[in-house]
Amino acid sequence: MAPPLLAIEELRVGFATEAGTVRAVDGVSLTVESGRVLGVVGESGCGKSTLAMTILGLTRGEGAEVSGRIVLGGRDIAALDESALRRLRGAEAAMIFQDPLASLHPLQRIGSQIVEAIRAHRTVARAAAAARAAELLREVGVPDPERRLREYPHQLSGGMRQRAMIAIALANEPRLLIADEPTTAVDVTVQARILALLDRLRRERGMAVVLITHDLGVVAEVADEVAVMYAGRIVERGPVERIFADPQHPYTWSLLASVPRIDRPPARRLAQVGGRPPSLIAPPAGCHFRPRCPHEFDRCSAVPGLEPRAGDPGHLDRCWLDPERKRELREAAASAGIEDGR
Amino acid sequence: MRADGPLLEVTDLVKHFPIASGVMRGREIGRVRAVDGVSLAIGEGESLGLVGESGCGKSTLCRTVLGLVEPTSGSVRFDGRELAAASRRRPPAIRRQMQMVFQDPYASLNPRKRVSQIVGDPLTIHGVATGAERDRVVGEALDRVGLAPAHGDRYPHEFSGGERQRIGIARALALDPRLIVADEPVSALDVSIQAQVVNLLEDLRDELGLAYLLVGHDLGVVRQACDRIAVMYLGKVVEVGPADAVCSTPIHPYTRSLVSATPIPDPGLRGRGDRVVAEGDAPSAASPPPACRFHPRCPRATGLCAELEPQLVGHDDGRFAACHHPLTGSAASD
Repeated sequence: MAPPLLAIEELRVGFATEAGTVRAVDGVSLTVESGRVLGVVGESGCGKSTLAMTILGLTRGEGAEVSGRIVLGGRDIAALDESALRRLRGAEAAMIFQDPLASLHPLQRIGSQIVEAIRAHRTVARAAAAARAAELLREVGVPDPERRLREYPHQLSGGMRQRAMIAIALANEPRLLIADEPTTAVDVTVQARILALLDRLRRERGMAVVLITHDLGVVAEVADEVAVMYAGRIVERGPVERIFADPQHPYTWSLLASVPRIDRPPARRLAQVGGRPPSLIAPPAGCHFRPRCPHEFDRCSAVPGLEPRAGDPGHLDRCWLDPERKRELREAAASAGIEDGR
Repeated sequence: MRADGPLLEVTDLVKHFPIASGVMRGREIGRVRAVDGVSLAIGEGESLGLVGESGCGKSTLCRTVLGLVEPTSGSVRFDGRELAAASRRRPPAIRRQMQMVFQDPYASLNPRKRVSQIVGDPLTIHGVATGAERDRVVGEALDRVGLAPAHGDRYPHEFSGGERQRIGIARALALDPRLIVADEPVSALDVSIQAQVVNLLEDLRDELGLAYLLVGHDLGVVRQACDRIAVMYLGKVVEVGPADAVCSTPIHPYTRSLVSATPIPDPGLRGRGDRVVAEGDAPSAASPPPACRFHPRCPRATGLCAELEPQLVGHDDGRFAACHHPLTGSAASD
């Protein structure tokens, strides 16, 4: 088997503050293969955006202390200097953000922004780049691309702007696309089209995608693999079907149970996690989820490793509970849900 | 004694915003038809969800109901009484009974005020309570939303997003309202926190008999929290009915598009064959298509849809939809 396109090993990212070091990413390891989508889910402040930014070296300017390896196509890019990173960004790996209005230049026409992205990495005549820009816009599903090229970001709708940003990201056919909450700010119908677009791009181009999101519905739609993050660590990782059908970590359980589903009659009550996420400056010793976990016991004072415990070598979790005991707990919760009218 | 009719009744409500040309006060060159003839009713203790894409007029409708913007025409009745267009001309006793919860718990709380002041200000403004009585009501409101009285001494920045939204809800509760208008109250929150706030809204309804007009873009959340759902498209209500029925068997093709586009957290349902998501983007409310506004994007549209505007008509189970080609019975399976 070919080595994965992206392999992250023991990545740690800390930010020094007056109160102490914020450990935003605390020993994350993951891999993504070409043509696959890895969904990284978790709540605000769990470190998922820091992880995404750090892959492309975007946290360096913010004084982050980074350790660990980020291997892209066989090369450790965590060790690259700034000019080498600049050649890599937008060429081998590109990123799209939640808010296209903040990511596009407000005073530059869409066309010139795409042309600039193309010519930053290749020697192409302006006219040829402009033709390519129109092609890119058409490819991401923007109708009447020639007209849109001459327009400014404020003249486009939210969904159109998001697609223009994707076109810029795709300008140099990156092998890796990092998408940080790409559909959080758009309507559901637009979201459905953007997700379909990402799915098509990875199939047709073999592009790998790291999709950062808080929306489990989005993950279920497009991801092949899922990594669940909590307080800077991955607490569970595995194939998407396994994570949804046989989740192993109590934090994953509560995330799944707290999402109201449109395809079912409502639960009498949604599941909710008590308490709040821990401080990343002085997180609890052992399992970070321990203070909020209804099932914690004495072993939880030691950090559980991310290991296959559920019988599938590709399905890893960080929970000390016996898998058999977990099954019982989940079945009990499910039958309580049925009594609630689920 | 309370009237028998609905608590809130909105009839033919219209709100157009003029588009002016010129640098100073130019002439009117067009109108944004944000709300264009909406009729709705909410009963005592009932929750109505309002869904639709950005720009469909749902926020403007809320603000018009509360009198924060004056409608162009139409009527708003509360407890059987016709209300003045502007909030400031409404009797204070009525204003107290309709309170609002905002979307952004960061922007809607004054960062320089203590929580007890934020929650207590409405009591002072309405002259309802002062001194020890005010403190008691504030403590009770905080308790209702799951915060301790001691939290009253703190400032908003000391709280998480979910806790801030609770403070916003406590502020709305302080005046003992009968109707709460909540514009996207959970959209800015994480899923687990979202669940806490949705559960809280449901508890408050059960305990206090509150009625809600709840705007949301997440159909799953709205289905969970509401008895009925109204779907808006470009200033019009296109479908309204019991929440379960609207989500499980939509009648209007636009509702079906919204339902189809809503992701379901189950990878086994990926690529489900019944997805029908509308093509293209919603047109501007400044130049809505004639007749049925959805017809340019509708897979079922015929010539009729471009000529004659469909009216809201009754279907089974207390549902209403404005469509010439409704997805009912056998027609729904295509």
